[in-house]
Amino acid sequence: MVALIVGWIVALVMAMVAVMVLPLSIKQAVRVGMVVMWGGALAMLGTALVAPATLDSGIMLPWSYLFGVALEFKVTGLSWVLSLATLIAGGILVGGVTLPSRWAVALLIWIQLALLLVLNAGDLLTLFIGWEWAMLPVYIGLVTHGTDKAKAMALRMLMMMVTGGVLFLMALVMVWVVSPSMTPLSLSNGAVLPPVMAWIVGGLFLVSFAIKTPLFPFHTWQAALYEHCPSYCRPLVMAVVSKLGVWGVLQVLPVVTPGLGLANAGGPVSLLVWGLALWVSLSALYASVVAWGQSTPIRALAYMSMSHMAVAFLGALLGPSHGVMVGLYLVAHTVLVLGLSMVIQSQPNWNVTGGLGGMMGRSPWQAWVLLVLMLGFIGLPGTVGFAAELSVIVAIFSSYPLIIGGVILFPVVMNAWVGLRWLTEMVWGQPLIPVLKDDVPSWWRVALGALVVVTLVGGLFPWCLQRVISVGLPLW
Amino acid sequence: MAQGIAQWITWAMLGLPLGASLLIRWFQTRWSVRQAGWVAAGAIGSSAVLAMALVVLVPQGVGVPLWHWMTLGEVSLSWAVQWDALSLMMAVMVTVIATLITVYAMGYMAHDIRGASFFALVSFFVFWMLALVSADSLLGLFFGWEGVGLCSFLLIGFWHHHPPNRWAAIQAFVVNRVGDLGLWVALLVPLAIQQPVGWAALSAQVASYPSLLQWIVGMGIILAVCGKSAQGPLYVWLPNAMAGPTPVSALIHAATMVTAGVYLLARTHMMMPPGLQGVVMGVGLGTALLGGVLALGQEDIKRVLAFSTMSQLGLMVMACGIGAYHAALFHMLTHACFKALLFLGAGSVIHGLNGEQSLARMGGLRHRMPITWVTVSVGVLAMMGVPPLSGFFSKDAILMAAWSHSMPVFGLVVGVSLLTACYMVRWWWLTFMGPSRYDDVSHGTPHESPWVMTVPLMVLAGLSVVLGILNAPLPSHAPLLSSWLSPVISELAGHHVSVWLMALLGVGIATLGSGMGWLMATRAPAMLPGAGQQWGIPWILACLSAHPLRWAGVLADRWVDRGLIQNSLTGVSWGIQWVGHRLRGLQTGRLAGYLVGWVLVLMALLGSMVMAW
Amino acid sequence: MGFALAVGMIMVLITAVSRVRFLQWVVPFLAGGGCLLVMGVGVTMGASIPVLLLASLQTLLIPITWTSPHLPVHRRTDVLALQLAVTAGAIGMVTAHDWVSFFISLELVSIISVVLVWFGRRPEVCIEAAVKYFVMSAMVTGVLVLGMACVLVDTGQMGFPLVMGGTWLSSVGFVLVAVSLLTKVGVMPFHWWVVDVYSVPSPYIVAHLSTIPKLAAVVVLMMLMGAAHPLMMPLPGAWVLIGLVSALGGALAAVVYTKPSYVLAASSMSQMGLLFLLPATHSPYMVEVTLWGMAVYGVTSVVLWFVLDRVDVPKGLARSAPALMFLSGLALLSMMGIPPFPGFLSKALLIKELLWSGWWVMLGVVVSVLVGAMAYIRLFRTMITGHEPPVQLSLPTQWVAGILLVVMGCGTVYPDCLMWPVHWVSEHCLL
Repeated sequence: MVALIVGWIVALVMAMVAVMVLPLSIKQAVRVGMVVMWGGALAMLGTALVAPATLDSGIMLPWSYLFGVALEFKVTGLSWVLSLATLIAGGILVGGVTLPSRWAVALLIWIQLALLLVLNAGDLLTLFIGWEWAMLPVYIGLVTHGTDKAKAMALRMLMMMVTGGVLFLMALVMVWVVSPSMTPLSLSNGAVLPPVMAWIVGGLFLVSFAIKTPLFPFHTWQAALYEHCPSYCRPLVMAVVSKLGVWGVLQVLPVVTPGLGLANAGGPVSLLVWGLALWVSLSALYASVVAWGQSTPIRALAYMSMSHMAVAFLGALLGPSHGVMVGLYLVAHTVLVLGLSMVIQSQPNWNVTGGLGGMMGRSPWQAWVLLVLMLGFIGLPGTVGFAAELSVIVAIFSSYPLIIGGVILFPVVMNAWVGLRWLTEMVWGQPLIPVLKDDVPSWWRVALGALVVVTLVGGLFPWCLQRVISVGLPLW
Repeated sequence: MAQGIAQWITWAMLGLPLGASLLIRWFQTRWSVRQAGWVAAGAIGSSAVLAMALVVLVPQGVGVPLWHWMTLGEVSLSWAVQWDALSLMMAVMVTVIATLITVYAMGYMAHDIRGASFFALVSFFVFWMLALVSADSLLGLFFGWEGVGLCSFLLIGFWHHHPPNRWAAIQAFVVNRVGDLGLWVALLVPLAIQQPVGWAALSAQVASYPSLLQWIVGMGIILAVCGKSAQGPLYVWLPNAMAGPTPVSALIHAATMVTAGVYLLARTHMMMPPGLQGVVMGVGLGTALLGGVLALGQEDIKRVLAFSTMSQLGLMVMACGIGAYHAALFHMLTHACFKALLFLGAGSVIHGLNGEQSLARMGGLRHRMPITWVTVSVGVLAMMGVPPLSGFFSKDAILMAAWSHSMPVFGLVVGVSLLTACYMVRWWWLTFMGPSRYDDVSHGTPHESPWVMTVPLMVLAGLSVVLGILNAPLPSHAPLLSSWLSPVISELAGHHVSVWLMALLGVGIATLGSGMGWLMATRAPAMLPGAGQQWGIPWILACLSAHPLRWAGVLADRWVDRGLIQNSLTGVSWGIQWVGHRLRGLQTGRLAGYLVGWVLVLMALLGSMVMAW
Repeated sequence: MGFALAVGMIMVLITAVSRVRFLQWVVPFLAGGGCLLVMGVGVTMGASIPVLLLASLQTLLIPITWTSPHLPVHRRTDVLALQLAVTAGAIGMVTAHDWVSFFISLELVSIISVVLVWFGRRPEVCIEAAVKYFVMSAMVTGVLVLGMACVLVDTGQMGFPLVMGGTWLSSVGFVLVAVSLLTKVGVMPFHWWVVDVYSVPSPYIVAHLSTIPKLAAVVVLMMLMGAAHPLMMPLPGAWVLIGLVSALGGALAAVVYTKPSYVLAASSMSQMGLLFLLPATHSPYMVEVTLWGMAVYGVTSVVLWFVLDRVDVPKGLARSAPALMFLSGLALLSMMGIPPFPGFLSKALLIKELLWSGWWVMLGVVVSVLVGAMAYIRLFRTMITGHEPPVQLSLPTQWVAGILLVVMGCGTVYPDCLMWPVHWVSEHCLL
């Protein structure tokens, strides 16, 4: 499986270059994109069905003998699920959204490439490569296909990402000094960082991941990005790119800084960990409150996502023993946000205050899809969102002081309030701005229907997802 | 064999309403309201028959495993069903009442273009309610708990073209969610300490939890009850839930969903620390009194019943608080029947008066709507506790338990009973008796409802009459219901008072209350100014909770995110550009300036060398 | 010095060959082949890496210069010859073992560079820039000679850069020599000429000016810092401060400039400042990391100046010339330090070496990298936005772009190939 993924990454690079450089029409470029994304998804699915044992595999590719640097790839059940979701999402978008030029296809492929790198990285360097690449195509999309407001905020967004990237780089270099292979495995097995250095490296990684997640006060870029992102990549950005921060924590932080798992150890370490947990949980609370003050559903979704990701962040800090629970949360959130963003952005006037409403009359099918996905997003039992939320919150309750757990529960109510508010505004009533009846292409329905099925099946039979995700976890 | 039969019956019981819901949803554009109604009624009615069959086949109870759900650490969570006396009683009650209301709704919703969709939602609700009562664990109950909350939201907002209805639906869901936080906590505590959450396991192990955790679990359950059963400050959603169609008010907000809180208290009685029983009692009693007083001042035909429901639920919760679980459950059963009857009767009046809901524009309807009048009158009498109707027996049981507990509690329960009689008679008199105050032009000629609406009324009236036999204190043997429930839940409260004395007292209260109610209706209909707006209680509660949160969200977005943080980043960017411009300014293009600058720097460097030496 | 002479011979040869009209076309191949031969001989004879790097860069620059649309056909050989002369001088600088040969090499580089600056599309502006460069070079020469004199008087030794003994006078002398070299490199606050000189001549000239002389000067600085280390001790913090000021100041200036040539000029100051930090802090692997950094800087600078040479205005390059956009995108991302491009390894190694130099050094490096990234992003954005009509690239341009793409691609996929020859790995391995 790992060889397939590495090969597919190379194929994506070639496809991206071809689309960028060759004088293809938009249709031809879309075809290239569809082939490379759906082909990848089918190949991954087929390989998993035929050879499920390969779901836990790794490979090392030498990069520079001179500097003793190699790129390692590692596939686990969780990375496989998220990679599959990425490719499928990309395939849906490249074929389903109106693309302004062939560059949009190239950018979509670029994002896919970056995500596959991050998700299947076996060492910090490979993770960093994908990490840095993930936001560049989004930036390019914003400045080439975005509104004036999009262009204005694009640089700010990218600078925040670059800042996080530089901190990541500094931490990576520090790890490199101690462990030339730069794999978390080597750190956990023997190459241990000196205590002070471990906390410095941990702090650098923490801030870097906090910017990406994002946590307060590094979060202001997210809502603006989601609002102004070009529609051909918005769902992908919202559903998958938003996971990278927590992904990084899951992969790296507790190994580099084992003290983070010592919430009840006592002493100054414990106080630091409690403070960290409080910060993250207050971020979740803050985001859920600010979600109320948003003027468009995408912005509200952005803040609600921030709240969710903060909870996942807190769970990921607990270390590898809770990796399956956090992984389930990531998968659930990916599926739900992907569907929600697809439905919302396909509504006319979604970004105009008062422009929504009456979806039940215009497009009942999408209205019901939105209802199911939104209810899953706010954690209604019977949906995958609840199963995921329960598992992570149980982990948090069992590991942190009760007050942290109490703070985390507050967003459960706030997110329900905000989610329902937007749900009723979109689905019920009459729109203030009259719109024509929209037509939903049949394959778009299939895609949304599949997401609904995953939401419900994942809610009723979450053990299936647990089984797949647990392959290869814990990571070390 | 019993296990096998029970398994099949369980799947059928749960599957029929769910299947009907999906089927109606699929064919809703092709089926008429009647067709959809019959499908729903048929499915729910079949579930009722199956529930009664289970009562006969496995009266001692049976467990039915379904499937494995997920594993959390060391705890394996599965879906399973537990049929015992308590869950079977609830299942029969829910399905029978739901069947009757569904039949009624075929007439009530006959002219609604989305009527078919209505029945799909009702069937969906019945499925979740059955899932709630049949769950064998706190987790399974939570699924049903949230499911019925969802259905409540969808049904309250059924007529969503009116913004107040949408708002009412959201309020119901969110306030319920606040209560559900309590259930979250009750669920999280055992899971966090890696303990199973099945009823049997919980009852065996909860006592061994640290006392703090026991209290946390207990408080969580109380909060959940307050949310679902509209108790304490979380009652605010119930009156506004009357925005939904009347069958919804009857089914969900009177007879079934709101009683889930009482069910939860009964089911989790072993998890409640003794110190919190008093809290339960206090919350119930306070709500009962508040509901009764507020009901006196309402002008809307349904809102009176809403506050009445709140008050009666308060009585049930109070009864649980003093350990009178059998009395509470019995009253829940009888209350379901006559409250559903009253709501459906109100719906019949509304239907007959072309949508009018204000008591001020009713009156004298007994001649125009005789069947409705007779059946509703039975309901009112049952509600007041007039013998030998069912309400008499159930209310008496509560009175007896209160007497055994303490005099102050008994006194307050008497007060609640008095209020009940008062507002019910007022309501009945203003609606059916006295001079007509409706307008023939806007209301049309009031007419009796069709048979599809009146037959359920008659059935419910019949039930309100005979159901008292279930738990009546017969001389020859113990009350039936109590005997049946005893293996599952014990009656902790004593009943150390003469039955006849209580009966006499109950009649006296009903008589006195009726008189007061008649006086209010005829002499001072608007006796309690401000009660219509609940004396601003919802506004005060909103100012303490929702409004600050709303404003916090808006202000945080405006001042913190867009103000402080964004401006800080912009400031950094501006600072960088400012410095850059200053440096750029040094490039004047003049060679002389360059040379001077270069020499100066060189001198500075050499000077620093000298200084260093 | 033999290699310097060899390059000089190549210059003479192509000048001679170019006199024969029907052999004009042979000139670039002769020059390129000659440089490759020098590299090959260098590899087999164990020449130092700087020599090989200079020769490699010159090889890359030959087709760029020869195919430039801004260079009149009849001037091609002259410019090429001048460039080869500068390269010879640069090789002489890095291989010098005494002050005299070092001085002669440096002067060769300076004087001929002044002449090269003259080549541009606006002669009157180019003359002004050339004069500025000449005067600044003259100042540099004066200071250099003064410094040499101080060392000579103090120690009596002609050996370069290794000096035995010495007192405060030698310290002053080496400081003066270092300042002259820093001016040549274009490090703040000795940078005054850089923006004026880089922004005026044709880009193919600047591609050469911004790489070959700088690389040589940096190498010599490294040798000085290493060899004369005890004598430089009075000012260790000052050198670090200069490096930081240049890194940060260059980046800050680059952010506010709008013309691409100005941005690249300012960013070169920043890049040089960062590289100068390595010898300034005497890090253990300063030689290897600095040379790697210079190699990467050289290639990426050449690429960017080449693109500027072929399109008048880079705005909307994504639509007008996607291939050039791709190429310049690779170079800009490399300069920003985005992996897996060569510039990333350069920055990572830099940070690794500076890790123990102090928190304020790290802070300065981080801030300068961030601010520099802002400047490159703005340039990148200029290139990808805008709707310009497609530009038809000539066949030679396409060939050169292809070669540069291969170089960048190889450097990305297999970084070792930029530090060729590979057999040096065993002797100069960084582990």
